[in-house]
Amino acid sequence: MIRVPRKLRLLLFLILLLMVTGCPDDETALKIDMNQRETVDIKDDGNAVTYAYLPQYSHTVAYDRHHLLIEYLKKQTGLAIKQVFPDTFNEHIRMVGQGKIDISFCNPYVYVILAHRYGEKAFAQVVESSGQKRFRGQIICRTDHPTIKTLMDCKGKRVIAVDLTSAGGYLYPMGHFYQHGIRMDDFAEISFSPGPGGKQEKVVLAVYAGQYDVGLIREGTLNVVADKIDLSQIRILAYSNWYPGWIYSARPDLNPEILYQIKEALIRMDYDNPDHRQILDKADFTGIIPTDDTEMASVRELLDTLGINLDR
Amino acid sequence: MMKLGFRGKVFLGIIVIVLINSLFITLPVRRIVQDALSLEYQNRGLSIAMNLASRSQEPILSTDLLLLKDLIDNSIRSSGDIAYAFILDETDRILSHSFKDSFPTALKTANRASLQSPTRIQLLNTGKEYIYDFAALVEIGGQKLGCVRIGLSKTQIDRTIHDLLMTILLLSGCSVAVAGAIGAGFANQVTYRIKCLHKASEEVLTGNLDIQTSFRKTRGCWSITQCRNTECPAFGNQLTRCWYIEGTKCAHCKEGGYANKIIGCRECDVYRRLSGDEIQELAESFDAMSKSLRIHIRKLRESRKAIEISEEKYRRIFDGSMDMVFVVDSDGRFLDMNQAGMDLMGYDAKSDFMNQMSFSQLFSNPEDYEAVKNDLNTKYFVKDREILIRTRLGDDRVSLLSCTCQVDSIGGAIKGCEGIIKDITERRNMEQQLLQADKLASLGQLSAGVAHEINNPLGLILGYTQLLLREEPPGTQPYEDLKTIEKNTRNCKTIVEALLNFARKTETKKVTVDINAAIGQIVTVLQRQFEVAGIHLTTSLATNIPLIKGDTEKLKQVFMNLIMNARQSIEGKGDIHVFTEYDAVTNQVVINVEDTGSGIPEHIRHKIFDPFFTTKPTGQGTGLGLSVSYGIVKEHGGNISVQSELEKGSVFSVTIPVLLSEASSEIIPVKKPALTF
Repeated sequence: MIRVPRKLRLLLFLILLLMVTGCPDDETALKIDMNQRETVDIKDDGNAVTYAYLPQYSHTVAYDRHHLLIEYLKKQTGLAIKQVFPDTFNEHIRMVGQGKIDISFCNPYVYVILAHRYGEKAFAQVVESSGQKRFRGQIICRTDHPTIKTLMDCKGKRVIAVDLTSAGGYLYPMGHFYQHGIRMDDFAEISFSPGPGGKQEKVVLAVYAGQYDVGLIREGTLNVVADKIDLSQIRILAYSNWYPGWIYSARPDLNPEILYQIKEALIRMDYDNPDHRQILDKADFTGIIPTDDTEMASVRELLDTLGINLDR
Repeated sequence: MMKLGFRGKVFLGIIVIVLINSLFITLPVRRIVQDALSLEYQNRGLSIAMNLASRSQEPILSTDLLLLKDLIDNSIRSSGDIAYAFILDETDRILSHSFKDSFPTALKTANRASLQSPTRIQLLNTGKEYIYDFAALVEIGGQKLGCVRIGLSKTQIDRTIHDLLMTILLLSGCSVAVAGAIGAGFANQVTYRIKCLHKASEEVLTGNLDIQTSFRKTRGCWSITQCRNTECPAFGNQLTRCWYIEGTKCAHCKEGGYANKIIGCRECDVYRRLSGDEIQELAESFDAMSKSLRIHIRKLRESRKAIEISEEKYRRIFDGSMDMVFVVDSDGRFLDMNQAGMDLMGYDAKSDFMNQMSFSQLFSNPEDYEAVKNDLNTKYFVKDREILIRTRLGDDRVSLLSCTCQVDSIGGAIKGCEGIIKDITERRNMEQQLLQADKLASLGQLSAGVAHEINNPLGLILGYTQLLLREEPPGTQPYEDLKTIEKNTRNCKTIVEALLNFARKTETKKVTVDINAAIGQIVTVLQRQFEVAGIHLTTSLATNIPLIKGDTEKLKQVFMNLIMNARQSIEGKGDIHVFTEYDAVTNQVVINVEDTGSGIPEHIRHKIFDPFFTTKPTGQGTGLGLSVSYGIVKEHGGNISVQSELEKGSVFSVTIPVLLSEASSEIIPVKKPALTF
């Protein structure tokens, strides 16, 4: 057996130690050729049926709520259906007018505008998560607001609404103010939530942050922001009257067969069916029922009351 | 090659230690930092990718290519090390990218994120550089919307790590340099003090103990304790610490030197505050040691001088002693013996008896040895014990033995003994002679008195007898009777004269005497007579015999008596040899009468000079021959002695001094220098 001198053993030990402690591990690198190139091509399938959700919330919420429904419709109808995301209410209205949206899911106020301007046809409406076929707006302020105790205290305050074309987030609460003798001129300021998307949530956040004294939102919005703010800091001052729920409508020149397939598929959805319930829960309603343009009379009446011009 | 010195070793050692320390710290730290940086880099890349993915949700959904491009460009601008960024849709189509021209096809599939693995990192090698590719899935509600990919150049992190390593190495180098400088300073300080110590030790080796190696101290016990006692030897002493100084005045200081003090001093606040520098303590203890050594050496020299004086004195006593002084070990072997002892025992050199002769061999009489041995074992000493010792030549000497045992103080065992043997043979002989002389003198006086008292009546008896004889005719009975009376009276008168001669009461006529001539006359008369009887009478007369003053007739009587005694001791044939010699040392004439007769038994040898002592049958001798001869010799200031051996013969020796004063028979003593003390 070879006898290694003591000093040499020590030296070897030190070298080994340094090798173990001092040398980094080798990482495996994937070799790629950067010279082979391609051009970008994202050309759309022009035959797809476009589906748009009025951007009352952000695109992600819109996508999150409706992508299962889109998948369901694709599966049920065999059609190529694509969800598109207009950034604002106005863009939604414009895209409907441009024919870029075949199936529109919007509030009754926007629908009345679309029907008035482009002949949009309502064919179904949702049953709200509360089980109601109707929905309403809410007037909110901070719980600790020093001067706002009652609805009347909103006079002279700064108000923020969702959009000029929002039903729950503007039209319905304004009707409620009107019924209580409060006019737009009584407020110090009326502002609208900045776009695009997420407009309902932005109203709640603006009131929560104290940027505005009073906020106008549709019922259900607070649930959406429950994980973002402390809801105990928000007080609901009043609810508006009930109005028809959100409307599914189609552009007037959509192939009736396609419309029929889509309408039937939507109406077939049963909350008691577990598969459908998952889709409906995700979309934040419990069912879809048939409807038509005559159901929107109360909305049109409110618009008249408030003197809103549908052509502008 | 010169051996590396302490300074070099310290210097080198510190540098090696710091270097090894730096290596052992630097390399793992480099590894840790590199890993941490890589992880941080990867986390940052992931964070950028995930952030971009999060912000890409809306524009992907709305297919807002401009916004996607803005997001990518903003990301690229936000960090200089992002090599590229691009966004894929759910079908892996490129929605937007950061490349100026077309998109590298291979890059699209180089890294993939999925719902199961929403983020993924892949190191890519483009041939020019290494790139970390980060993929982050864009998804909403568990649905894949697309994928964001960004690439971070690894060169940047490598450069950062390299810079870090360089910084660490630079710092390590600085540490080594600083440690080396500090080590050099420290080593210089230490080696300077060690050199001082070394120089001091060399001084000590050369015999110079008056050294000072410790530095002068600025603080001392007096400054710490606020002491003002100027009588204390430690006060103001800047060279030696107080615990090395004897006789300090502190109340808690113990008496005595360092060995006694130090235990107590270790508890002292002064010691605790002033001690701790090992080299300084070494120097101080070295100084204290050299000082102590100096004192001890001085004492040792004084002691050695005293011992030398003492040894010389005792050696002189030992060697000069006229008596035998000896040393034996526990086994009785002689270890040493003075010259007188060697002379007494007949040895010429110490090697003749050292480790060869035993104590027991000293004794002629085993009983003496046993008695001495018994006394030594019980009393550990013997005092003036009269013993008979046997010399190397076999002579027995009467001696007085005194000796003392060396006893081990611990075990009580006898380690040996020293003693003195005094030869008293001569004294004993002298005592016997004196005793004899006294006895004979007493007898002489008695005999002289008796003879004096008898001599006159005998004279009257003889006178009247002779008067009566004149009146009686010869042949008659009365005449014969008177003749018988006259004859016996004359015999009585002869005896009385002999007694008077013995008692020196007879008149001595001292003239110049030729001893050889006197002997010759006697031998001539007796020689023929002896020849007839078969006795061969010879003489050897020394020619250098000086004349002496004496009574020739009386001396002749002495020689006659001795020769006749010799004749009578020989039964049958024999030899009688008379020889004279002159002892120039004692200035004496020695006359020896040697015979081959029957010898004199030991038990009567001391009686032969007694008056009326005779071994002859009654009527054949008066027993006055030797006693009369003794008296005559003594009258001449001489001496008579005998040496005899049974059945071999005897030698009678008569010594007569040559120089005799006219008035006294005493030998004139030779004057010697008197002692002056």
